[in-house]
Amino acid sequence: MFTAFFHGTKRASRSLKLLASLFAFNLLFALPLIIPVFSLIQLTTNNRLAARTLMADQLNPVWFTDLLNNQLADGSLIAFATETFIQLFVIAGLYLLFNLMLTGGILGHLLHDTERFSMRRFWAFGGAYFWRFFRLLLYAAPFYGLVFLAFNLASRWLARGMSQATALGHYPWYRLALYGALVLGLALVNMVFDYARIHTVKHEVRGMWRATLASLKFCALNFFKAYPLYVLIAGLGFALYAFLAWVRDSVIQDSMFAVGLATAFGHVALVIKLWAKLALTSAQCHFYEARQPAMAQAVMPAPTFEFRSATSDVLDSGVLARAQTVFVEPMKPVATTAPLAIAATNRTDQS
Amino acid sequence: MRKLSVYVTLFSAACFLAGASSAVRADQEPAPNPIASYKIDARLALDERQRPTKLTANEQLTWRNASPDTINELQFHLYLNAFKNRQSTFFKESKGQLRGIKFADGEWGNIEITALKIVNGADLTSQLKFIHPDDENAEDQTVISVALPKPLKPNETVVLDLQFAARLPRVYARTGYWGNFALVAQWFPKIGVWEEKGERQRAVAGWNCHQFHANTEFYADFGNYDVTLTVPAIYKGKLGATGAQQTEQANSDGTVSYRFTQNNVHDFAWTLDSNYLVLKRSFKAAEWIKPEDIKPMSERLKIPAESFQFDNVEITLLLQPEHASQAERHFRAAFNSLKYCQLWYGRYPYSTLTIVDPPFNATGAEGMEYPTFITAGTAWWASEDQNPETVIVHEFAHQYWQGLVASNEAEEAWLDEGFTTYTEIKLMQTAYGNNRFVLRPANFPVWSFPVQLPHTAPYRINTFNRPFNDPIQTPAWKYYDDNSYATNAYARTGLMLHTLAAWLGEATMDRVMHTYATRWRFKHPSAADFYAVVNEVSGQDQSWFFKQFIEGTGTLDYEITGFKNFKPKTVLGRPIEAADPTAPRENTFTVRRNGEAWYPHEFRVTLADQSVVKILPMLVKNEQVEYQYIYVPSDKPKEPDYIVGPEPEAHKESWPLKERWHRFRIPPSLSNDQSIVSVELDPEHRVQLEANQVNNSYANTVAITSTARWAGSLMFWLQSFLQMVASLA
Repeated sequence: MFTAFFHGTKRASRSLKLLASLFAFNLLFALPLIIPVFSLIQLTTNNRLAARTLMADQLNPVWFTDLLNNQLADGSLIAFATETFIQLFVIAGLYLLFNLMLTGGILGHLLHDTERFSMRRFWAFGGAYFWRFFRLLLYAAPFYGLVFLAFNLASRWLARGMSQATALGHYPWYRLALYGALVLGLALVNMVFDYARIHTVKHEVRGMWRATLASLKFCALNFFKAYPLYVLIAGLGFALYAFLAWVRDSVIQDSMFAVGLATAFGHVALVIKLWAKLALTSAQCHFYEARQPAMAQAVMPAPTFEFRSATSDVLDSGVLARAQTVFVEPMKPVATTAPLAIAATNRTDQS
Repeated sequence: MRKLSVYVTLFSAACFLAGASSAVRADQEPAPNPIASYKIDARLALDERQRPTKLTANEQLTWRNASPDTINELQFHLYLNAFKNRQSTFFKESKGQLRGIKFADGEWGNIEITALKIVNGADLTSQLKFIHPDDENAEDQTVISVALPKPLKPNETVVLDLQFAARLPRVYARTGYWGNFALVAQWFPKIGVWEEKGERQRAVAGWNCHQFHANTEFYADFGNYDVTLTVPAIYKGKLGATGAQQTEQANSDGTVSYRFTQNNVHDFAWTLDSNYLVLKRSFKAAEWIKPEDIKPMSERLKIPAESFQFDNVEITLLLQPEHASQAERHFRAAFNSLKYCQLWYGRYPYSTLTIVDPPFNATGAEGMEYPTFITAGTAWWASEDQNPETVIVHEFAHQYWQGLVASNEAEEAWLDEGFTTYTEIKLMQTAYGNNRFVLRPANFPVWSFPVQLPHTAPYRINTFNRPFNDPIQTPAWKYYDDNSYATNAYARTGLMLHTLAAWLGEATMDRVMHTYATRWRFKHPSAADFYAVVNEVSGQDQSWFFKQFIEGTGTLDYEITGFKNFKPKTVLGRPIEAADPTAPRENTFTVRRNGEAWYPHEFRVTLADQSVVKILPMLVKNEQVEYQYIYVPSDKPKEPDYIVGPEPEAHKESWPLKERWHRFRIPPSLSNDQSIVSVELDPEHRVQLEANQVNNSYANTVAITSTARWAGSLMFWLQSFLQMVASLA
């Protein structure tokens, strides 16, 4: 577990190009979303004295209340919150789909490539695995649903007790523990499907139920190492992110320089979060490979590019052909402690 | 032989009244002769499920006809019948939900008068009949009428003996039980108010005894209360009530009895909870109200400092054990309330104040006011938001607005709720400063929103986001909906009074409120009485204000749409004479009235050299507002006597009320050819009825930095959220 942890963090730290790309994608996705907010603030403050008192750590209360009233025009706070929630839900859904592409690229890079990062191959991998990962996401939904169902049942049980109580007592702590359990439950499902994705890429699997079952088996057999590894890296990433977010929040943004400084801290925090994701994925790949039964080092299967038309430029340019040339060659071991040893002939799960 | 026993003489009434505690300090007040006095012996028992719901009582009512009218019937409130079934007017209007708290199915309450007779006289039980003065709901049983066998002449007194049995509902609307707790309010048959012709602008004399509606509260005459409460032994020492406790007596049947008395109040409420932490502290007037507090108020109110009188008040705090760490905050809020309300509105005439902290899941009992008795409400984990303080200050302010100045809460709810809101805002701002808004997911104070909110802010939010459906002056049960009631009775009135303060000036407003509070103490004023005080104290007819902002529905919103600086024409950088040498050289700015209502705003124009031109409304005459320009040099920003320009008469401007916009001109003689850099109306943001305060200014400001600051922060959190979502992939 610790070997995988150190491998993951080391690999993530070395993958600067990949990290920079992920950050750029994240930024490019978020920027258009923030433009309406930027415009709203600009519109409501331009040529108004409120702009002068809108700096530093406090919003101008006059501006803030007027803004809220304008946003709530002819509507209620609940309607406004619902509308905002729906918008966020749609945005989150789109971003999730976008990240399916990115995950394909990351795993393809980590499992199939040498350490040299190529943007074209990144997107080619993303396209290659997108549809399979999308199916995995759909398969994951019932598992996430089960976690939420359990959370909901426990919440109702707690609420039933609370509704009869005359003192709040320890209920907030119980609820906090329940939220903690929810996070751990979601992490568990997430981990299972992480390994399903790794399994898919590693073995070029096309049957996603089979990948899910294989991952479940793998996680069950290695639970006491795989789960702590997940919690360790996710926890580390969150702690670093939280610290930097706090640092960012501590900057008194009363000048353009301070705004820039806070923005920089914020972006470092976001990069740290991406780094943690990359480290986790890398560590999981390493851990997965290390726990595979010893197999003869052999030829890696070439990834199947499903969106041939979409990647036709890649194909036409011969990049894919070169990539396939690479794939039929023995892969360089990712780590000396766990050499790649997958023989196409031994694979039973390739469709 | 004349049946003297039917009607008790004034002498007998006086004997009863004299029986009340001499320790009650309100006796020292020039209080009116009591009209409705009660002697009640009540017993609260646990039901089969060990809940304090069963109430039985004997009530002796001494009622004096203080009017010049002869009265043939009496009317009583039976408020608890609002919770009797789904057919009550209260339930139909509220749909079983009040202030966000829902009715628990099956947990009904009710009250039944089992006997009613005149002392040593006729039994009137069979004469009782339910009436419905407000609607056609024959099923409503919240008002009862009884015909008198003999008309009651002016100044005569009647003494009635009543027996009643009641069941407390599960608390969701001000009264009821939960667990071992009970707030016993609106619990006894309570006589209505007989209003003579002309009283509160009444056209015809008659009873004012409204049914219990979803949004109406109470209205009653002052009297003396002597109440004995017998409760199970588990409540020994865990009980609080209106007034001062006189005795405690353990009974042989395992119960314990308490006697409370209070003179010159118009209601009586009590509470018990075996879990209460009972804490007592004394408000020591000399410690809290110093001469340096009195002096400025004395000057403002123009009354001698010696006339300010304050006494100590014994405060009982009945606190939930899980809020024990917040005891000091509760007491301090009470002390601050006692300090400022007495400074502003006159002496608190009672010797006690009881503060109740209802238990978890009894939020329907929170935030209520009864004479000398208020219910608060706090969070499990109190934070920097002024949560228990605001409620305590608000409910204590009700001791004045409705407790002492006993307006009709049903017909003119704004006269108590709105005045209380005004006081709450002012007192909280004075004693505590700006508030914080804290997010509390799962009861944990997780995040303090980065804005320091003045206490007007919560009332501004959600008040100005839609047109007003009703005037403030609307009976509480006739508002368009609950939202309109809350907006008008609470928020809009509070903001309206702060706007009135901006117009009259704080000192004049203080005199208005003090005069109104002291003149109408122990009486029943109406809106017209308040108008009269405002006009009298300000020395002007302010009906334009009342018509628009109390009796009207118009929105007040002015906007500075821009300004234009005069630039001489140049050729190759050299100024040339204008083609028309008579063309004006002044700078201008334009103001537009977006709403229907008008208000004589003050304008502040800042010039390039930081000198200021103030444009002050001087008078409203001939359907136009006349303004006077005043120049304040930059080196004399605090000059007490403003410097008027070289041609004072020339620096005037008029804005006809019917015009929606006006262009103000700053003549060069006044501006010294300095260009305008910003214009602001109501620079101190005191006109709280202004629906949009941001558009009250205009400046050459491009808000790039501030926009980047807040948009950047929002983007950071959005990206963080998206990354969290991305972990699913």
